[in-house]
Amino acid sequence: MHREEDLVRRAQRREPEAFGQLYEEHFDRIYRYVLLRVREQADAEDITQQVFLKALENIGSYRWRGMPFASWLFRIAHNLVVDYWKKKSREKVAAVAPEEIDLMVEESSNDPAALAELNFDMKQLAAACELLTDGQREIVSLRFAGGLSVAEAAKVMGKSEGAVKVLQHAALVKLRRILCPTGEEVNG
Amino acid sequence: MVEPFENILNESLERLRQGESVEQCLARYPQQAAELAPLLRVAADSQKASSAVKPRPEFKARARYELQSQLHAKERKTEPKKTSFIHWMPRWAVAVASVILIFLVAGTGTVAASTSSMPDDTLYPVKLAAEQVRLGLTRGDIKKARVNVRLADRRVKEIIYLARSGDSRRLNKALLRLEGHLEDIERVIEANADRPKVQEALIALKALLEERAAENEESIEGATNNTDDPGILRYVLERYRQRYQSALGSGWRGSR
Repeated sequence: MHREEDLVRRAQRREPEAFGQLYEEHFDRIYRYVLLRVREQADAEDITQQVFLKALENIGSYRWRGMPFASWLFRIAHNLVVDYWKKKSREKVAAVAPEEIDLMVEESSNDPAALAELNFDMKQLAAACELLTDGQREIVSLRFAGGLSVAEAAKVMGKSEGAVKVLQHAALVKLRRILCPTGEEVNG
Repeated sequence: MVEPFENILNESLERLRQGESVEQCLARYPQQAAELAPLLRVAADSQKASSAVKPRPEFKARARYELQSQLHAKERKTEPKKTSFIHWMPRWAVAVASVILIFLVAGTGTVAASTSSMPDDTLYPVKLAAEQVRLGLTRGDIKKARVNVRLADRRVKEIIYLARSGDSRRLNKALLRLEGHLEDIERVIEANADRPKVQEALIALKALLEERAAENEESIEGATNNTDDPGILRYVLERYRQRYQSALGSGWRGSR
C-alpha cells in the first residue's frame, strides 16, 4: 500500500501519530499557499490552523479514489481562502496597490544583477499576484507556494490537467511582465 | 507531432520542482530555450521566494497543540467507558508498575530504572503507570495535589529533553500531561478554598507549587538557548505560566 494512503487510513482511525505525521508533512506548504493568497500573516496563521482542524473533523469522509490527500487538504484551504475574501468583501483596486508594484518593478529593472535573477520576496510576489486573474493567482499559489504537481493542482481547482497547464503558462507570462516589464528577456 | 509548449513548460517546471537548475531544463529543449528561459526564471524565483517563508515556531507549536487537544477530546468522546488514566495504559505497563511498587514498598531501588526514563524510552509507560498507582495509593486530595506538583516537575524535565532532541510529537503529549497535573492541582485548590480545617495544608501546597514553578520556569527559559526550536519552549513556558498562575488563584500573594 502507498505510504501516504496507509498514513491517511491510520489517521482516519484517529491514530494521533499518523495525523501528526500528515500535519508535519503538509503544514508549511499549506501556510505558504494561504499566506500568498491572503497576504496578512495573522490571517494566514488563523486560516492554516482552521485547515487542519477541519481536516481532523472531516478526515473520516476522505476517500482515496483519485484524489491525492494533498489535493484534499489544499481544497479545504482553498475554500477557506474563498470564504475569507467573501467576508472581507475585498476591493481589488485597494488591495493591489499599483504604486507598490511600480516601485518594485522600477527597482528591479534598474539593477542588472536583479534582472539576471529577479530576487523578489514573498511580499513582492504576493503583490504581483494581485494583478493576475483569480485562476492565475490560484495556480501560482498552488504550484510555487504549495508545491503541488499539475495533477494535484487540477484536482484542487476542479479543472483538467490540460486547462491547468494553459492557465499556468498564461500566469507565468503575466507574472514575468509584471516583475520585469522592460520587454528585454533575461537569459542569465 | 509537435509537442505543445504548455507541456514542455510543465515538464520543465516539474524538473525544476525536483531540484534541476534552469540551465539544465533549458538544455533539454534548446529550440524552445528562448521562450522557456524567462518563464522558468520567474517560476524558480517564485519557488525560492515562497520557500524562504516559514511559519513562526510559536504559531506552529500552538497549532500542533490545539490539534492534539482536539484529537484527544475526540478520543475521549468515542471511548466514554475509559474513565481512569490506568485504563489506557498498556496492561503490561500496569503489571510491571505494580511489581515495581511492591519492590518499592519493600525498599529496593528497582523503581529507579523507570523513574529516570524519558518518553522515548521503552520503560516510559512503566513510569507513567507507576505514577498513577502512586496517585491511587495516596490518600487525601491535598496530598494527591502535592504528588501532582512533583509529577509536573518530571513533565517539565521531559519537555526540555524532548525539545533538545527535536521530538515535537512527544513534547506535545508531555505538555498535555503537564497541564493535566496542573488542572488537577487547581481543582483541589478550588474545592478546598472554603474549608477552614485544611487552610494550612492548602497554603503549604500553594507555596510548594510556587517554589517549583519558579525553578521550572528558570529551567525552561535556560533551555530555550540550547535548542534548535526555541519557539516551542517559549510556547510551553507561556502555557505553564497560565496554568500554574490559574491554579494559585488571583488572590495568592506568594510565600516569599
